[in-house]
Amino acid sequence: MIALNLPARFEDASASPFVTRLSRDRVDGACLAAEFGVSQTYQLPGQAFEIDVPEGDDLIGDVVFADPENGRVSRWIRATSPHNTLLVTERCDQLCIMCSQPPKKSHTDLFEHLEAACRLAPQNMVLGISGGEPLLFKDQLFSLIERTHIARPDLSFHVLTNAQHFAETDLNRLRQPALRNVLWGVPLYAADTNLHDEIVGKSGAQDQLLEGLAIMARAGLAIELRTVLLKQNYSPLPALARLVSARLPFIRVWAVMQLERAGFARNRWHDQFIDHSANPGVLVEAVSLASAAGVDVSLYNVPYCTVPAGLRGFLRQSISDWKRTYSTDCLDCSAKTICSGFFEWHAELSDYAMGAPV
Amino acid sequence: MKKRTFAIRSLAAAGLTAPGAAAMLPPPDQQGANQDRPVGLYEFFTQQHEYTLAGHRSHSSHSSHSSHRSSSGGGSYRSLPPPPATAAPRRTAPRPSTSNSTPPSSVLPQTATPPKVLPGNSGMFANTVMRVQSGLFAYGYYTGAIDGFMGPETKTALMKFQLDRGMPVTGTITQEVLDAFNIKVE
Repeated sequence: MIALNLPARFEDASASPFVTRLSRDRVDGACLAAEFGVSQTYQLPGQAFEIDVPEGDDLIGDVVFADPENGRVSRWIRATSPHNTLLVTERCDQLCIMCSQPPKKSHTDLFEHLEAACRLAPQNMVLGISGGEPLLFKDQLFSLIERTHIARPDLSFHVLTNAQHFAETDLNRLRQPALRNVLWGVPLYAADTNLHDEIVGKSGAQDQLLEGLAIMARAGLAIELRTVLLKQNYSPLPALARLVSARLPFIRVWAVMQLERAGFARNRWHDQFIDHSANPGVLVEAVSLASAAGVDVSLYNVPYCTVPAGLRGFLRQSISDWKRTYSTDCLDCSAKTICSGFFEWHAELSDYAMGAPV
Repeated sequence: MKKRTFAIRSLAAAGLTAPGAAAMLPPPDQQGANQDRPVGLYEFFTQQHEYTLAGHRSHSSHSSHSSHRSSSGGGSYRSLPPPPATAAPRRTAPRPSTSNSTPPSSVLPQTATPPKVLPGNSGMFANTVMRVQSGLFAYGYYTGAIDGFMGPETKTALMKFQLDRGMPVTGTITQEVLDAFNIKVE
């Protein structure tokens, strides 16, 4: 696992937080000025800070949020990673039973810093935006994306949202190139209204979500529909596949993913984790239904050996690199390079009935 | 909060805090007695180092650096030998033969009269950069401002210095660089 928050010693510990890019020789950021073993000192006008570089890691090129008062440097955009996600808020209007990043009531407005970070991002990068629910701060978020699109048209965004905050009045704005350029990740857990609402901890959520999706469709937005596999929603998955095929044919992709063992799911693991390989027929049926209807289906965080051969073409290796790991049983597996692996906090291979090295 | 206190102390140890802040801090001998504290880079430089850049120590203040910029060469640093034409031993200036010996008092930091606060520069690290810049200047590698900032000019000079001395060419301050200028670590 890659450390995203590093303790740092600041020369001026009373300074306000700031965003900067760590560099070896560029003067427009924090420039590497001293190296003693694992310790690196970066300097910028009026400030210097010292970080211990984690073993085997490289900080050069990273866009960081430096917080002198708390003695911390957060790697917001890692230069070498294709999986960078900016957290715009920790507040959320849902409370999903398996939330990997449980929300908080407090909100720290970091939009100014986030925008500064986006402008320093490496060329052509896709930046993830998550929360909390980012669209609770819809106007600020849209403005961030719009201004960044003007300053850095090479960048694109992937925004995770519950899609319940889009309104008819947003249509004109959504149709502009900046927001059309975003891939919007929207979770939908079940075709059954009550089941979906129970999973996200909010009554009326599914109704609002489907209205939101309709507005997004009218604006021509690119939608990645996301479904996490749970004990609660596994057997009715084919019904969801039918709903997606019949009512949501406009989505770009349906991403079906295994559970991340983090946040709420960590303590509720045995109530929530479903071994799809013990009953793969359900998954096969759901994927086949949607796929036959022309829906592009992707399976995320599903180890290669745990699905029947017919589903392997749908597997995507897309877990964020800093969360990806492999089970100890996987050491000599020949399918490792094409396997999506496990979430750092996911199951072991032995949790799957079908799990075995290839 | 802990970090913050720590950082201010380390700056104070170098005598580089605002004058008013000195009242809040324990006297230097008390700080030295506290062996259990973690040692950061800045303290590393200030407390465990014995600066033997004698030419510098004799200055009562770094304000004299302003005159260096206009000087034509390294002549004012008579205590340093001229740079060798080819790769030379890293340590050219005199230093104690063993790490435990006591250096001559003339080269030790004068704890009784801490250096004055440098205007617009409260940083110990910047102070270290200044020492390196001064060393590079003395050896004829650097003609820019002794401003305590590792800008491109300083980096280029440092890289050339490292190359000539057969050191790893990093363009950053390393242990080898400190040793070469006898900014010495015990």
